[in-house]
Amino acid sequence: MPQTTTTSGQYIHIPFCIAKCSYCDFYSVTDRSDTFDRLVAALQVEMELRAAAGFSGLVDTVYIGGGTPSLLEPRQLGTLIDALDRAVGLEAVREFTVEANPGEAPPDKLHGFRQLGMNRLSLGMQSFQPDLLRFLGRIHNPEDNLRTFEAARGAGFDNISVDLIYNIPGQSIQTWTADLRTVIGLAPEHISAYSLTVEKGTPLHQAVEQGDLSMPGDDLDADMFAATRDILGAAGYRPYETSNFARPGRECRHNLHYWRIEPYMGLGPSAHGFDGQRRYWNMADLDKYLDLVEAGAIPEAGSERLTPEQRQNERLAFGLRLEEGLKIRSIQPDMTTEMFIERYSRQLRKWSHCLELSGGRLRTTANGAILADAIAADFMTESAAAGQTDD
Amino acid sequence: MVKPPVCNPNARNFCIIAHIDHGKSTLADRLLETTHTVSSKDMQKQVLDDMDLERERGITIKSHPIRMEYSHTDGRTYTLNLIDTPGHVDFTYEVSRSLAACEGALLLVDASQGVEAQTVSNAFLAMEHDLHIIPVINKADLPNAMLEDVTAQIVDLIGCSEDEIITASAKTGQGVDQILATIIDRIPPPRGDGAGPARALIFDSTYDSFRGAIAYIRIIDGELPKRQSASFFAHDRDYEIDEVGIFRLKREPREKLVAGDVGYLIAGIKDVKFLQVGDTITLSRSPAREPLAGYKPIKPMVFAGLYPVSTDDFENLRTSLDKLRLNDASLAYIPETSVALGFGFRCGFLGLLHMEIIQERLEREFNLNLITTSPNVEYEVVTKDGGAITVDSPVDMPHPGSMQEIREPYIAAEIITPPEYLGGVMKLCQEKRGAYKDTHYMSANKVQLKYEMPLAEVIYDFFDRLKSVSRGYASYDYELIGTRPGALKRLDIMIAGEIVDALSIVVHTDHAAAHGRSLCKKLKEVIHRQQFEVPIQAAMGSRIIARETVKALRKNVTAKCYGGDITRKRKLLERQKEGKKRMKQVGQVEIPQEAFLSIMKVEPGD
Ligand SMILES: Nc1nc2c(ncn2[C@@H]2O[C@H](COP(=O)(O)OP(=O)(O)O)[C@@H](O)[C@H]2O)c(=O)[nH]1
Ligand code: SF4
Repeated sequence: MPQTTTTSGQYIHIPFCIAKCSYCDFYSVTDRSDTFDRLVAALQVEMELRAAAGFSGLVDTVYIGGGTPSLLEPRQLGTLIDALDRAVGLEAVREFTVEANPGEAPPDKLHGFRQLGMNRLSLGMQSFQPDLLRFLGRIHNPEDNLRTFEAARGAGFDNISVDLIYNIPGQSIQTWTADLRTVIGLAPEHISAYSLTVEKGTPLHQAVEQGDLSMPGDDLDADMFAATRDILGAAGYRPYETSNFARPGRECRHNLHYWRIEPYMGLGPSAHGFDGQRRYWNMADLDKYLDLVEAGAIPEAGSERLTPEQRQNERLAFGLRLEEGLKIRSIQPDMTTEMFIERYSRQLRKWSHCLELSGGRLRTTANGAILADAIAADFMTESAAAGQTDD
Repeated sequence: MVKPPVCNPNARNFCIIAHIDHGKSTLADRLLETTHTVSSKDMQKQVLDDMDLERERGITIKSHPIRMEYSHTDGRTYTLNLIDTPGHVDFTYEVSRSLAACEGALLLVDASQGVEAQTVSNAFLAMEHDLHIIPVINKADLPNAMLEDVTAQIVDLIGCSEDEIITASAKTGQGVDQILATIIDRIPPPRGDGAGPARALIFDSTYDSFRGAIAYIRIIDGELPKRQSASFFAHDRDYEIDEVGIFRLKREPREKLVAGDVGYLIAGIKDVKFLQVGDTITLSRSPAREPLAGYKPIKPMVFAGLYPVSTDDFENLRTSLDKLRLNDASLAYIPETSVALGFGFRCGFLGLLHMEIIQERLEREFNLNLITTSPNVEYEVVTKDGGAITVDSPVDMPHPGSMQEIREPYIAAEIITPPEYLGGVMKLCQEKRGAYKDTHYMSANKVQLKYEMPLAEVIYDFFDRLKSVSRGYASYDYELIGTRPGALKRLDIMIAGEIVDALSIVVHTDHAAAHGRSLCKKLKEVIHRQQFEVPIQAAMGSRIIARETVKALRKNVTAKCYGGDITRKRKLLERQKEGKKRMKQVGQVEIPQEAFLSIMKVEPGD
């Protein structure tokens, strides 16, 4: 059981979209507005089931994501929030995010969200180039980006995050940096800048597999990654995670729970959760999810209890993505810096120009952030051996 | 030569010789069935091949003799010993010993394929041993049987008359009785001196975990009773005979074996190396003076390094090799160390197939994960000071300046192909440094080609290439004909400036540049991007003859990682980590296993 001092996050997945984007592998369905109320009811049942099963940790963040949660009416979201408050208690919540797509969240809806206590808005702008938005299968246009941003400010959101995508076929480094400058001009508190990844099962993947399309390639991808850090850094956004940038103090606390391997409860179809020991994932199928929950069952598709080795691997994999780095004691409570240096001497030597070890933490340097996965996989070869001797 | 006296007029010892897939095993099954040695009910297809691998590859690796009884039309019952022979050139010496245990052979030819290379080489071996050959055309039931043409080929090959050839089908049973009757009528009864001092030929051996090493023997002269002390010509140890017997489907003990018999001998021998194929067993009390002719110690022809992927498996590999060797005296190995691969063994094999079989058995039966270095032949190096050394690993090649000459093993290759592929086959042989010797038309659509070639050139992919230039129709076989000097050099591969010893090969000077280029190209494909740019170079001595570069890794980080991605992401990295563990670290560079495998598949000009 997590100790009572631990804080935790609360995630709710709303699996509805108006149209499916070509690159997206999140679980979401279209044309199911008839099921909105049924889902809201099922989510209430699931949160009661999970709370009854004993999920502790003081909830300090809530994140309603998707899909497109802004498709729900404030009334429906309000029902959910009340239920959540009863089930897990929301008095300690400091950050409450909802995702919205530009053009799909009119001002009155945004007002409604603010009224419900949501204090952070994540806007999926993705691009300011009409052709790229079309390529991505987005149904909004650049003007929607601006309009919805203004509306959000008008509704009182003083903590807004903007999502952008680079490494898109057809995108040049010039159009990308222009998009970055446009966003900087809007002055959001937080920016997520993702390199487009080809995920299995998406139309994008199919096109690449069939040779109809080729991705920009490693070199351009790396150049854009570096340009992003330079430009956003100069504008006062710190790269506190691989793809996430924030004004000081505006880091996404909810996502930090994930990256620091802290607990979070996940609700809804395909949602994942972690209670500090066990990770679970729900059915990624709306109807199966509804049937199970309505029958009073926990709608899980699978789960795993982490071994000490897996836990170490997670800390390595995610810690190295963070600007704050990896706390050495989080690998093993009694681990000193000396012990760490001894165990990972080979890796530390190999990646010396990419890493920095100080204050009991291991961090990637500006050179290293772009290679974090390769570095983590290398460090894992040691934790495996160490994990075995621990048993 | 005066023929020795006949010792057992009612026995016939014979074998079946054929090119692979011409139906040897199927015919053997039919013979067992017809003689009621096995009831049709128990008839498991191809009873004689009982190793899994043999089943899969359809080849016989170990011989399994079997004894049958057959009532002939003359009213007498005869004992027939069928000695199955290995079906691959790697095991030619074993084949020759099996033949030496027989007086006759069925020469089986597929009616739809005709005479192939192994038909020819086996027929010649049988003739050398003075065996009576009964030609049989099998698969006569096939609609595409070419009886006339195949008859012409067989006549051309062994000089028999057309009506000596039996037309049969191992599938339908056609001709099987005629085959049995002909064995009795035409194959002479065993030759040998029943009263003389005992001499038994070891034609194979096997290992039984309870009984130890078991010799498969043919008694030529005298008799071997149990509880006597046996001695051997190839070594000085004597052993008390625990058991002798004959082969039914299982071993069947007897009080003694007599001249003409085919059977087995168990004598508390722990190691098959004391049962050398071709050696002669006699009795210690009244030993024969001369061994039987034809013994030679088995010499490996092809060498390669075998290394465990995980260094922890080294001891495991050793015990596994020890176990395999119990049953395979031809497997040789000594520990070897490689800078790139760590601890392993330099192994000697009879040929490439033998090597593949051993490798596969180690991986399958002993669960080992292995890296095999590129196979090579054994070179004879004459040094400037007049000394001679043999080198079975490219790494051990002396400095070029100290060498007078390098000699390499040569083979006489015989290739049989339909005439339309003659051009392609000849081009291939030339590319493989072959010296053309002869062409011979065996029939309208079979040509026999003879070449002399370096063995080193055929151990890579000659067979596959031959099949592809002939659409699968050509076959080939070879025999060793000694060593010849060649313009050979060691080619080294340097990765990030360091020689990777396990990638060194010996090549002919004419091929060196092309080979070096294709090796570098191949390695570039399999070595993934590292933190730094990695140059790959091929060098002869200090001269760089080819170069490629693996660009530096620029980006390796997942873009999106949220609550739903953690498990997936961890698993992905854990897989990456497992891959890393299987890589070999050379200097700063990680080299994947495929690099060591790909080098075997590379040909100049690829
Ligand atoms: N049609 C036909 N097929 C046969 C005959 N004899 C063998 N075969 C088939 O030929 C293939 C090779 O036979 P096998 O006995 O394994 O050949 P081996 O490699 O010489 O032992 C198998 O698929 C047999 O079923 C035959 O007389 N007629
Ligand atoms: S990217 Fe967002 S809007 Fe597009 S399909 Fe995925 S969840 Fe829906």
